[in-house]
Amino acid sequence: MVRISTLLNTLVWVVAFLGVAPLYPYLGRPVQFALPLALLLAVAGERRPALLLRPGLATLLSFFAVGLYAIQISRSYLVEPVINILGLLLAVRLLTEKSGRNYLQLFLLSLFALAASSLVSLSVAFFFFLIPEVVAVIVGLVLLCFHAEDPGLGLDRAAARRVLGTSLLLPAGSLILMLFFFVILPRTQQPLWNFLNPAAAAVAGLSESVEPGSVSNLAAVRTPVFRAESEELPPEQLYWRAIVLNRPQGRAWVRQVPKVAEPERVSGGRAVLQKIVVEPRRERFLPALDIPRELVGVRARDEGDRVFITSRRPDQRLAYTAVSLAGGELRAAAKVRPGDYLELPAELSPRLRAAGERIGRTGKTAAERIALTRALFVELKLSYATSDLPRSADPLDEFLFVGKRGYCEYFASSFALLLRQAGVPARLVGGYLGGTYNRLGGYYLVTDDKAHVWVEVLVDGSWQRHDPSRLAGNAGIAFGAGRQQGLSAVAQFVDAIDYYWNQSVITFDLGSQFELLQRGRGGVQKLRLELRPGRVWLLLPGGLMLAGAGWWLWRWWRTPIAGRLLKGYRRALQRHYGEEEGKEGEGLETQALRLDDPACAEFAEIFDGALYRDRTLTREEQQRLRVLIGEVGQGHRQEAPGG
Amino acid sequence: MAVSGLLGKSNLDGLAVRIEPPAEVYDGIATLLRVRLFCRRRWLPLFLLRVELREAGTTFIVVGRGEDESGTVPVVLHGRGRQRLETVRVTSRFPVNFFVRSRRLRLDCDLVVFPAPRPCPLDYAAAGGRRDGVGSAARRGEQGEVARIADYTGSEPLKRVHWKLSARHQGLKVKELNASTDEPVVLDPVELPGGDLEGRLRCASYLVNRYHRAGRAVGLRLPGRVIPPATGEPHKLRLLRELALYGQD
Repeated sequence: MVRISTLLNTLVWVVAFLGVAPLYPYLGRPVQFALPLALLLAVAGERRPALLLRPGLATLLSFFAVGLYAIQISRSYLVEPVINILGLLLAVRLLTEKSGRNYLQLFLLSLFALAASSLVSLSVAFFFFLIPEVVAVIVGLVLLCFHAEDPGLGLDRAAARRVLGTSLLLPAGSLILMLFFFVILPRTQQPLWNFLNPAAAAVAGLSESVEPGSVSNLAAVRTPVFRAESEELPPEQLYWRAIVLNRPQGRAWVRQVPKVAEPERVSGGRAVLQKIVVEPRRERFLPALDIPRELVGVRARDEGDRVFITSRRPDQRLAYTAVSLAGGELRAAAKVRPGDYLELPAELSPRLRAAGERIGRTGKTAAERIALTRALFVELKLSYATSDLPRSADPLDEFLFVGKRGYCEYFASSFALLLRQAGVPARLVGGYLGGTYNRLGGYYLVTDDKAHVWVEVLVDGSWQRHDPSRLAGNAGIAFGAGRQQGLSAVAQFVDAIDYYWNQSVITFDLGSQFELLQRGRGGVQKLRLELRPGRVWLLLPGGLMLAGAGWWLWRWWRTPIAGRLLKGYRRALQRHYGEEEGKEGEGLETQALRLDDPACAEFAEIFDGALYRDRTLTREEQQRLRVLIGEVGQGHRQEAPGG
Repeated sequence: MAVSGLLGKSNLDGLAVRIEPPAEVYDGIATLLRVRLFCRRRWLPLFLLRVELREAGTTFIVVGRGEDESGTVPVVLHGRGRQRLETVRVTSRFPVNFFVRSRRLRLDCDLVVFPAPRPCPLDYAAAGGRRDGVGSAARRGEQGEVARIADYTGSEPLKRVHWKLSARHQGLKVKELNASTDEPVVLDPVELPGGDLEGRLRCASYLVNRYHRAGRAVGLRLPGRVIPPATGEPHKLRLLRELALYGQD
């Protein structure tokens, strides 16, 4: 024999655990302490009811819990007190003697707690808690229905299995409906509660200026920056372009929006389509594989030099599609003045200046000067390093001629300055190099430590990419094995799940809904074209459903209005009197008389009136009959006691 | 909500109710009617169904598919004679206790309600009002009611020994029973006390039961015919049925 209350109590503990678990890390210490304790006591209280609280005391404690945190609530500090109140209320309820209402409250509080966890985190973990929570709460509601019948009710094992088995139909149906509504329900473009903790998730990433010498050690942070769903590409093509820095300013390089109205054109190469999902960040430059031709699905400003800036709030996840031409040619704007890319900082070390001038003198063409600069880098035996970096007054001078250690910013800055000094227009491009390809998800994961700066040089009206960091003596090690370090299979799996969660749930918006609709439409068209005769059976279930629906509609349409009304009337009779047809040979009127129902009597009068005169029912009559069908059973006089 | 609505609605489909009334139902006296619920569903069992009949009801927790369960409903029927239980109301709060759904089912259960027995003196129990049934009730017999306690003589069968009393006395005591072959009685409702016809019928109902218990043959004088005295359960039921329908056919 299984007692319903035992089953319910077990479910309540599971529901409370599932509801609170994702919220737990964000709760205050006292609540973090109170909740597990309450759960333990509740479990122990199943055997020793003396451990549980009396309802009066529980109510007092609830007031105390609400009061404790309610006084902390302010416009800027709302979520934390509220989730703590939820946690404490749940703890008190767990500790209280259970009645039907208490069970309901517990289910509700646990659901609220789970929902509240989405205010503080949009992690995929939510999904894994949500599904069992929904199942447990719904099964609990069904059991509660039996509990309401008799709190002491016990079921034998077979009956308990039947009850649980059938109650599982409910969550199964609900989850399918949830999926359906998730796809079709309208949604806002902004998260509703975003104003509560603005930009909390944004992290510093690629900077909008490059200043070699500002740090002595570069920390490698492996925070994801974006994921790009695309085919797998050769490592040497994995330059993700984000920003172009075209102006030296003191020791730094900054960006000045190009004045040229006409954008630089990109042609040739191989088109690579990428579906990019950018994590919440502070800067608004949108990365894409070099050289990006266009960005689709995001409102972004094309700044001319293949740099795209979004106008959307950067503190939320962003998804878009980029079309890039890998290995393509980037033609400079026709009206560009090469002089714009020759500007030098006011103070330049004499050794660097001299080296640049020498290159300018020796090399006759731009290509020769580039080759000379590259040769100089190789000759200087520079090495790529992220620690013990030069931090003197003139870090580039120290990098080139003294320490000879530096990372990409040193290489790119000095390379571009040498070229400019030699009279070759050059600029810095900031972005990311490399990325880990996740074969499970078919996307590149690009983390913060992949940030990179390289140089673009204007040769014969085209911008050429040069990565001076590759000229380092240890480039093979720094960019080979180290940069391509892959993730373990487990890490890939976890990251793929996270990616799909963000892709299909978090960034799912109106745009995605339209896309789905269009894809669905396209899919249907494709199906029509591609369906081979042997595969016709695939259409069978859908065809049968359509045929069934069609048959039903046809029957409905074919039934005359009088027939439909009579059917409705009989259904009402079935509902109220448990009979459809009158007794043998009994007409509508006789039946109405026997049932002693004025609505039935009037229905019979109007209906038979039309039937026996062989005329159709007028519109008014039809309306009246519909009203009468609704009134069947209402005016019925109580049966007189028999005898 | 949508799914629970569908499940709740289907929980009232595919069921049938049959009433199995007891052999004797008396006017104004609570009777336990046996309600049998059949689950004619192919896939799912029925859950938490309450079958209500005249303000009383019984609840079925689970009825497996293709199975049937029975419960009892205490019902008070008023007025003697033929009565028809036309419909029964079936309600269910399954699957979620937010709404109670209900449905009426046709029963068409006919039963005959006997007049409620009202005690009246046994003296009147004689055809034509003669008091000749009294004296003969003292005759000793084998199957009647206990008439008196006597000492055990050694010839009585062991089943007649009154063990309880024997334990309190020195010797064994035996029960002396009235003879079951008492003089037959023919009741005429018209002659019985009780004021109006209904009162007399109730008296008759009482006497029929009383004599039946005593094992005495009892008959009934009806307008235009006489049911000869006899004993036995079927005969008793026949008499009570005649009393129930007295003057109604």
